[in-house]
Amino acid sequence: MNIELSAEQQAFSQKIRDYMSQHMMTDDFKAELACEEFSHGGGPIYWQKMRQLGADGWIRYSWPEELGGAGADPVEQYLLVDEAKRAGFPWPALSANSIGPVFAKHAQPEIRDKIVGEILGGEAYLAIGYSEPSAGSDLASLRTRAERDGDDWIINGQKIWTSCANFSQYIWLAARTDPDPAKRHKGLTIFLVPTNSVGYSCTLIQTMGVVTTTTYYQDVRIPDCYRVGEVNGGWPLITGQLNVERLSLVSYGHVAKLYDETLKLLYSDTVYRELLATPWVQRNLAVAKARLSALKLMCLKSAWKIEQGGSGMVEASATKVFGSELYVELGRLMAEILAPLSNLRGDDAVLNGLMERWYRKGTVHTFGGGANELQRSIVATAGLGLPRGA
Amino acid sequence: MDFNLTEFQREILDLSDKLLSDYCTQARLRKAEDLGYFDAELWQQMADAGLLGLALPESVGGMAQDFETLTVLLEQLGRHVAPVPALPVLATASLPLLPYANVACVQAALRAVCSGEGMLTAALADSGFTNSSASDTLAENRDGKLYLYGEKSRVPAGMQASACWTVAQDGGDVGIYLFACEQVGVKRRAQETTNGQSLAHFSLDGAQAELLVKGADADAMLTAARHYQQAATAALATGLCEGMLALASEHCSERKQFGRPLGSFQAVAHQLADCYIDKACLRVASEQAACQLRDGIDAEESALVAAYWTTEALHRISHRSQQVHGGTGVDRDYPLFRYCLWARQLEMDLGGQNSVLAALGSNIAAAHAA
Ligand SMILES: Cc1cc2nc3c(=O)[nH]c(=O)nc-3n(C[C@H](O)[C@H](O)[C@H](O)COP(=O)(O)OP(=O)(O)OC[C@H]3O[C@@H](n4cnc5c(N)ncnc54)[C@H](O)[C@@H]3O)c2cc1C
Repeated sequence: MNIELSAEQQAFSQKIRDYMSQHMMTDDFKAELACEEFSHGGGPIYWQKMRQLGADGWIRYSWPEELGGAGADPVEQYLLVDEAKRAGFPWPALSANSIGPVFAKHAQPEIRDKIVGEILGGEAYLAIGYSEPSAGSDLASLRTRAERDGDDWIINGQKIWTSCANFSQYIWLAARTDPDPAKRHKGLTIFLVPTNSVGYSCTLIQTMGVVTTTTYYQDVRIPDCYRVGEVNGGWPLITGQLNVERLSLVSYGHVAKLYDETLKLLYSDTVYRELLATPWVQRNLAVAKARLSALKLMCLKSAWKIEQGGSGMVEASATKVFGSELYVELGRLMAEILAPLSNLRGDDAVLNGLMERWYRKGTVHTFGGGANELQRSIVATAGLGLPRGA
Repeated sequence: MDFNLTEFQREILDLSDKLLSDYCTQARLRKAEDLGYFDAELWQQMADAGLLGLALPESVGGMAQDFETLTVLLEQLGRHVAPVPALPVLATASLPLLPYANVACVQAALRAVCSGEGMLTAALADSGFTNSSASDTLAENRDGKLYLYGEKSRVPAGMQASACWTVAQDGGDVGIYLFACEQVGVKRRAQETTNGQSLAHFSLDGAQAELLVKGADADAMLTAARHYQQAATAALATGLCEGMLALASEHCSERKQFGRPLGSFQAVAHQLADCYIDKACLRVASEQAACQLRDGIDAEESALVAAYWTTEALHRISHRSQQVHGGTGVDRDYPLFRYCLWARQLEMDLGGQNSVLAALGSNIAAAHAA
């Protein structure tokens, strides 16, 4: 057994780290990301960076070779996302990891090459339109309708939490194409809806932590070539990429960032010497360290399992629950250490506001990407062989 | 990165699993409970199969495998709640002595471990509360021979051991001393503990001993013993957790209430899912510590992290396993209680979670000064 990354893997991580700090996370881009409306991307510098990322081959890096990618193995894929997120880059996971390659595989020839080119070149981004006001965890209950009309489809409905739709060129949309209630999972189809379509609109939702959107589809007419995969064959496209995606949601670098930055601050200045010598502060640091160590290994082991040809389903679900709850727990453990300052915003904020934002952004992790209750049920049935329940 | 076992390690796993399946039957375990939870026949079988010398050098009759390979055996021992003191004897007591394996008395002690003719232990606690290795035991030099005076408590496998090493002071100089347990200067008394294993209290009243190392080398040996104890406990605990969770999952798949299997209730299933996650964390922490000790990397942090997860997983998994079993779980005719009591024993043998965190935290704070 060897738990260390190989020399090549370490060099790869270092390369990404350098690339991110030298070419991506430039001061002008950091300033742009600090604006609320561009915090996910979508600003002018964001698009410059996306095009450079594409030109430098990083968006295609994780795609399989037969789809025009570099065919990185799952461990490298994980390391790439981990380093990008650690650097604070708004990594285009939907282009580079989850949706992009699924689109390339299942898209129809009329639109495939053009849009694949846009995605890989960093010129276009996608938003996921799955959730609806009445369909969250029970995604298969979604009601947005797509009806055939000659060579076209007419789409009607509403999506909610369609993140990044405000600056995306396309919505990766799940719609009902068979209203028969007996065909919940088997009546869904995936469409790629251009956001400049007539009848499409988008409004912002300000959440406690991030900006997301509601998207509306009123008699949106799109040609059949924008259908992705088979009619009523949408469900496998929705669930196929979830394991790798779940891992990237709680990647180590992303979660460890607050610990790393807090410790750096405590080490950096003699003002904090007394805090560092305080037993309960040491205890908070120790709990964080011990739990983060496990997260790091769990992430790598899950990626390694997938690389070995396993589905990684149970590992990914277990890691997602652990990592997302650790994210929340860290927000508390670290903020307690700097408690009097931890909630300050603006110029007075500690750690450039990272600590204050952590709480506001943190809660999403435990229900987004499949609520932790659903993940626990996966672990219980697939990992422990327990009978399926209600 | 490769989380696979080597082919040889797989063979050790299969060999030990098979041997332990034969020996750790309910009937035999029950019998072992009356004998200080020690199955001498199993121990001898392990010696004959070469397992006791798995990580000991060929010069003493061992198989010269690395520490990681030993953890494969330890996990199986936990998985089967095997009534043998492999953790203290093969890991904590034996491995720190390896740098001195060609010193005659060490060589003899390790040779006896391999063959099963003798047992080596380490007495790391004085009587009373202390859990630290600082010792009030005194070493006296008379006519070129060394004699130890002091009280040692909670010596693992103390009633079975033939040789023991301990810490003593010779005018302020801390040293590690090795002595034979059967001699007039050593009085032993069995101490009972929660999981039925017998420990021993040693009264050393002129126990003739040999000095192994002093000063910084003695400190290094004690640190090594602690690292091996923490990492080996994590491996054994991983096996215990696997065992508890297997019992709980099976029970909750079969037992029905309200017309449904218990495991189909989310509140039950999710508690067990949390156990699965704790166990997965413990396993990777254990693997990390084992690999670092194998490779001679400074394992201070990874051993503490492994110890943290050991205490966390053992506590949570044992209580939850009990919970979802209801009355069945506490019945002595059902196997779960042995796992739980051993879990409790190991958790507190490591000093408990807060002491582990205090050590880890003070290292983090001190890293700043470095
Ligand atoms: C900031 C943000 C960004 C998002 N981005 C996107 C996006 O880009 N695209 C998209 O399609 N969606 C997106 N989502 C939606 C997200 O995927 C959903 O919030 C998530 O699937 C949960 O659905 P829900 O919010 O409707 O909660 P519900 O499904 O109503 O669930 C609420 C809670 O009920 C409990 N629960 C639900 N079902 C069960 C069950 N079976 N067993 C036990 N407990 C249960 C859980 O505690 C759960 O957290 C985003 C959400 C947010 C907040």
